[in-house]
Amino acid sequence: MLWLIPLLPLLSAVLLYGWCQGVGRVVLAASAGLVSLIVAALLVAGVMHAWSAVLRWSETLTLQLGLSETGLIFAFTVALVAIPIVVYAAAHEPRRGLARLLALLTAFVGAMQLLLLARDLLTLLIAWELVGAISWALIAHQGSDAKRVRHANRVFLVTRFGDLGLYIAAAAAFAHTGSFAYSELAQLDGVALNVFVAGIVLACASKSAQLPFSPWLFAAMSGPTSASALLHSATMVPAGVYLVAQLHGELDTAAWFGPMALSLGLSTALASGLVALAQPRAKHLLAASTSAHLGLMWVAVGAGYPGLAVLHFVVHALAKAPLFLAVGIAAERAGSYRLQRLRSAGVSVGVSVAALVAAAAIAGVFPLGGAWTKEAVVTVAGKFSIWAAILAMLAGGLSAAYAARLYVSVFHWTRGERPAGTGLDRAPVCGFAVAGAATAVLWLPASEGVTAAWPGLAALEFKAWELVVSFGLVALGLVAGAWFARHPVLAERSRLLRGWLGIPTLAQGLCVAPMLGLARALARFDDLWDRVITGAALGVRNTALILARGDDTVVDAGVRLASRLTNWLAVQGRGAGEWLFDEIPQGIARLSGAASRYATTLQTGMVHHYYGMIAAGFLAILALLTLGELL
Amino acid sequence: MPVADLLPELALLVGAVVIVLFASFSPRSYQPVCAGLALVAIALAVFFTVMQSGGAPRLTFSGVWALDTMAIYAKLLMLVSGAFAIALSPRWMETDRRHGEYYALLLFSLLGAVMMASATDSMELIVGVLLSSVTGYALVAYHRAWAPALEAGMKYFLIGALANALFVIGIVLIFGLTGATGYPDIALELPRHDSPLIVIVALAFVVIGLAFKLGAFPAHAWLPDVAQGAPAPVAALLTVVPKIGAAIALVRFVQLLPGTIEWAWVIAGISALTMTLGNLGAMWQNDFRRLLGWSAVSQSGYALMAVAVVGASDEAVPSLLVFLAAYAVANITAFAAVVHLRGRTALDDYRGLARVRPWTTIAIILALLSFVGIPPLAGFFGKFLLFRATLDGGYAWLVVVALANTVLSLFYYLRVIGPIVFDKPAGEVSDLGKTAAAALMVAALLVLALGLWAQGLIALAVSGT
Amino acid sequence: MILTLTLAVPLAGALILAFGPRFREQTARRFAVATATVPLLLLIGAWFRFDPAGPQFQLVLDVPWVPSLGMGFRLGVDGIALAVASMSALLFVGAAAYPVDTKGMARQYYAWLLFLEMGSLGLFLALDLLLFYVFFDLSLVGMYFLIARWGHGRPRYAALKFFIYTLVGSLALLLGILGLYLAAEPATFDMRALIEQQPLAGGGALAGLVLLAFIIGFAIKTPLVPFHTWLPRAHVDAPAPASALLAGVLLKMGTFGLLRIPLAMMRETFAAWAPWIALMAVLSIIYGALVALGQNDMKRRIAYTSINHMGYTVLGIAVAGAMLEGNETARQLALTGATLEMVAHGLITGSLFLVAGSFWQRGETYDIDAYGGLAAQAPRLMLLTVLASFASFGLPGMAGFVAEFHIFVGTFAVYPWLAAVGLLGIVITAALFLQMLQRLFLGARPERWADFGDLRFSEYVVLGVLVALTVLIGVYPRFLLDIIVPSSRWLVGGG
Repeated sequence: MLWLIPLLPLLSAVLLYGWCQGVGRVVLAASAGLVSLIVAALLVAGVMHAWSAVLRWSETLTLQLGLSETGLIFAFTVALVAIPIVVYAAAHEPRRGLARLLALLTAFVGAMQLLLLARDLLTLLIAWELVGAISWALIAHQGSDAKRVRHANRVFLVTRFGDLGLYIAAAAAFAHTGSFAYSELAQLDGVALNVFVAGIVLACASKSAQLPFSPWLFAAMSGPTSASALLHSATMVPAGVYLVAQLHGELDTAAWFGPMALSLGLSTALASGLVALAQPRAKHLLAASTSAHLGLMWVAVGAGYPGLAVLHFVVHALAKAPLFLAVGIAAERAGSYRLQRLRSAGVSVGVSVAALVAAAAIAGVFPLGGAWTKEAVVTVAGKFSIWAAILAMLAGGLSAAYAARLYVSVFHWTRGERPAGTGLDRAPVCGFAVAGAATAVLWLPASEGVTAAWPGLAALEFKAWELVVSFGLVALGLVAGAWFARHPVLAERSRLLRGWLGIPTLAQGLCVAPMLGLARALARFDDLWDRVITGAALGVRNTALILARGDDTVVDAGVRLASRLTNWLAVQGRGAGEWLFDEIPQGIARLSGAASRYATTLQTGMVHHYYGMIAAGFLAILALLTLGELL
Repeated sequence: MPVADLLPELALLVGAVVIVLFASFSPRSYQPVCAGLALVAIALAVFFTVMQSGGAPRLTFSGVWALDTMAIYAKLLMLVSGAFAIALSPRWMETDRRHGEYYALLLFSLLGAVMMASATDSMELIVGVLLSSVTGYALVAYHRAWAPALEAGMKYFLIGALANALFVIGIVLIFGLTGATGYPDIALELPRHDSPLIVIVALAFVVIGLAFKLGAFPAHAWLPDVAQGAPAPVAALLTVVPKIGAAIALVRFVQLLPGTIEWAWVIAGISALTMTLGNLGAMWQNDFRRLLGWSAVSQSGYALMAVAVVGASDEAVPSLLVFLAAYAVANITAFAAVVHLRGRTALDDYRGLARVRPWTTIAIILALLSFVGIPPLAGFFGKFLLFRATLDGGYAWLVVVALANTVLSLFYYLRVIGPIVFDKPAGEVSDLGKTAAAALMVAALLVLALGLWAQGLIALAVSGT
Repeated sequence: MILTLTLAVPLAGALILAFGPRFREQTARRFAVATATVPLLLLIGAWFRFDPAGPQFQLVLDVPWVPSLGMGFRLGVDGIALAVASMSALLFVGAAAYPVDTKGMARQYYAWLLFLEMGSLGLFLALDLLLFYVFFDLSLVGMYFLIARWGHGRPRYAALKFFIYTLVGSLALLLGILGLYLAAEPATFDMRALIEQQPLAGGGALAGLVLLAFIIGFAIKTPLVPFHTWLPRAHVDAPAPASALLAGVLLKMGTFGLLRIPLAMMRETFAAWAPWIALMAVLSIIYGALVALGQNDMKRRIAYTSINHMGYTVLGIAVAGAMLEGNETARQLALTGATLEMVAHGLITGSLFLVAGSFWQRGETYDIDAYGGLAAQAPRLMLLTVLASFASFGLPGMAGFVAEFHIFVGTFAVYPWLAAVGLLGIVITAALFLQMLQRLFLGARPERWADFGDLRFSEYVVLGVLVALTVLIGVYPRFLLDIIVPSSRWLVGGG
């Protein structure tokens, strides 16, 4: 039964693509939304009946599905976040290829569900790569623009490179435990364990856009807004965090995992916070902010509180999705994502308010849930070391800054007419906003029981000074952000920050370009190698050619031979660039030349030559025999 | 004097005589009858040979005459080849005034080769060699009016003269050493002789003599000319029959030599040289008959592989026989195709033949692929056995040389097949009518059949030896 | 019996086409498709008759052919042979059904096609070394005529090169066969007997040489770097169905032979040499992928990815034979993966070459940069190309992934480092295929393709079936694994 949950969206995606090319936006919105709704319902059913599923490929390979707490929370979030997004997509995205877009979004949800339900590394790997492939299709959605496609390719390649980590982890696990199941992972130890953990970290870091992979999120911005919204808030990007949270128990047995994750998260959070602040484009700002917040989740996991990471994921999803949608609406009017241009666009009040809530959540402003989880992160980081806590606070301040900058530049209340958006405009965004606001309950003392019971999240009590400093930083950040919004030039001065610390350039220079260059060089070399072999054959052939000519008449055979030989050498010389591969055919040529000179004299058609040959042969035989005799 | 043991040879002899008489006293219109007579003679010879087969190997006729599997197998092979040559001739020769005697000559040349194959006495061998040579000269130059034929005949004769002279000298030397002509005695006497130098000289002479009949280095030069210049049926005969006889004779001869003489290396060397020369020579020929001539040279090279390991591997002789059989049918097929196409010889004239003469094309392709040794054609089993025996005899390097040569040969065979199959037809094609066509088809069928029914071919060769 | 029919029917069909009634183009094609379908059905039947729990070789037919040589007409299948043969049969049906310009010689074309099918299937079903060799060469002849007559560009040069180059391979193979044969006691070509008695075990240098002969022979056929240069030329100039068969079926002869002869019959020697073979394989993986990335010619690009994929197969085989005992599970996985890769590569690359053929029929060029922006023009073509490409770089849910995952996991347990290096290949292949898709279908469309037609029905069906099967194997490979796993376990000596 559990198979239904991933399969339903995947199959209905096929249907959507196949049969819903012509139908109207509303129908599309309804059907796509319905699918996600059913998925959510199925999840509930699954929980109640404790479903699990196994598909046996062979006695060594089996695919297993099951429901874990972490998985469930993610799964629900994905299903529920998807609904407003598809509705938005149906309402706002260009008509052309809309069916395909919705189909892909639905498939995206399905693949993500598979990833979350997987109970063994093989299934996980399958889902993991599927998610990547679908993201490629989504980003390349508007295929007529070559740049977008190139970006899509980059995204896929970067994430797939990370996937190699998962392959290695799976192989290591199998080599050591003889199985891929999560349940067996506990047996890992020694080298195998370290290899396994390293692989997982690589895979997750690249998926969840941690350093040094963060820039691919910018490339991913070429996709339609709805795709970005889904990809950032629920599917794809959070997959990395999900996995580290899910496997935290096993990963943590490697002593170096915790500090590693923590420092990775912190550095990403800080770096991408700065990067976000410096972005001239709204979407890029949001993209950078995503990796920043995922960084915070990594910090939580590294500090040993995977549950907190999950919680922050939920809050973040509820805030990040509406921001994307709202920005999309604004951009629709402005026809660009540049903050300056967006400023003039103006959006309806509802959207503006919703955006305010969402931005506040991202900024971590009291009393929103975002604030609570962020403070929690600070606290757990503090348990690790005070410096970690301080860095986390700084990251929080940065996010406050860019959130403020975004809100003020785009949605801030300005005079002048406000367009009355349609219901479809507001519904998704506002829905999110309400949900986001609801997370405020986290602050209520009553919720303490809940959070304490929350899986992987023991009861936390915030330290007062931390709260004070952190909120102070947030306030500072807000002010700074607002100020930057008024003076964008100052914000965007640093090209280094705008260009993601030059990492893309670096990657381009250090791995992409060299690889392509190598490929071209090898291709040339390959033709050369081919020519060498053909040359060898040619050598023999020419021998024979001259032999045959000489066979007709000996006259000027020598001359022809010489010319032919030089000519052939010339050809070879021109053809073969490197001297090394020049030597082989040339050697053969000289050899064949000598041989053919001899051979030519054999077939002169003059009998005295034949006699001479016979005599020679006689002597040869004689010599050989006597030699044999003497030996 | 058990004359009965000579019946096959006698049949040929009598047939030849009858033909000469008939030809000289019958009007020209009756001349083609001679072909029939010749076939009858051969049929009889075949019949008698089959009668002889089955018995234990023995020497007869006071020890100058071998009746063993090798001899019988070779005889059958040569007789059948001869029959094909005759079947191909009538239409070809009909314009010739001396049509009749031609068949007599064919039978004589056949007789000579047969003698070579079964001679166990050096004098006997000389007679065989000379008989087949002398008739050969005449046959090659049979079209007196045609310059190339005369030239070919001339070369054939001049080279033959020297080679045979040397050959005779060699035999005489051996006689001088051992005072014997019978092989058994020679085999006994030779080892006793302390200074081997003369033996070596003699051996060298004999090898050259037989190399001439084989068309092997160093006396191979006549083969391409003959293949090109001689009447195509004659070419078919001369590229096959003397080869068989000479190969067998060589096998018999080397077995006489004392172990102290490194003859195997000589033969191996000649073999390698011959096949390489032959293939290189054939590679760029633009004349199909000449190309076949060269390929015939290379094929003798392969055949010599078996001779080289006669002492070392007991599979040598059977593999040689099978190889010769496969070679014979393939070669006859190829020449039959040439005859059938009225002896057209320039490769360019063969362009696009596939469109106008599909069956002839198939025959040619079968023959050539059999030369290469593509299974399941007869040639494959021939080569396969050769390689097996040679490896078995410890001459792996020779096998490698042979393999390399096979690749070479594929190249020029494809140079023939390519234009025939893929080009546009060059023009009208006229052929030589039913009998030639029938012979061609039968031969082509044999190329395939002997491959699929390799068991029989091999079993015959193995039995007894 | 059922296997004999599998070979007899195509042969008969070929003869009928060649010498029988003068069919018209359409009739000839229908006849060919019908004839090609029979072996497929027969093999599916064999599939049901095959008992995974039974002995290694089943449905055995043993008729003496040349008893004095110990050669017989021996046919039989194990799970591996059955899987590969069925895939080939399917591919032949597809190739026959795929539209191609027969230059007014439909009968001959389809006759050669069926002849080739006889040769190829025979090779996979043969249980006799010499018979194996016979079919090995026959397939050369068939392919030679297909390329030389119906190819484009410089077909005759390409065909000549193909024939001569691969004949070198098959002669090396012959040498190896002879070596093995002479070492066997009693001398026989019966594969079962040879596997049983393992001639040349502990044969020292001689064994090494024989193995070398086999390796060279099969490395040329497979092909492995550096013996691969005949491949691109042959592929580019061959007609699309022919190159689909060349990649899908003929290349398998190399890998299949590798696991059928040296791996099975010379386990000890093979184990000693396995690291080097594995190294060669990894070299082919990386080299093939990189060179493919550097190609601008669609067919050349796909051809080089074949080298890459065959590299994976050989890697799996090398791992399977890497040791005489120990690591059975991993080695069995590797061998199973190698077999799966043969099947998968046959289907995937087969369809990719057919796609290339469709491009040629519409645009008369293979230059990738000449196309572009065809997404709107030919959505079906794009869909299938995308699926095939994704399958080819091993996207989960497709056959390629299952195969490569098996191989990789198996290899990692034996040669972790080689596995890690080889893994890089999947990123490069991904790169090169994405780049190709982008340049073919996306971006701006040149004017000349204004009337670029989408797939025709026959093309659509053939490609659809192939891709669908790829997905089926990718999602539920069990029906394949059930018959492959026992055989491969038997081969790695896991009992």
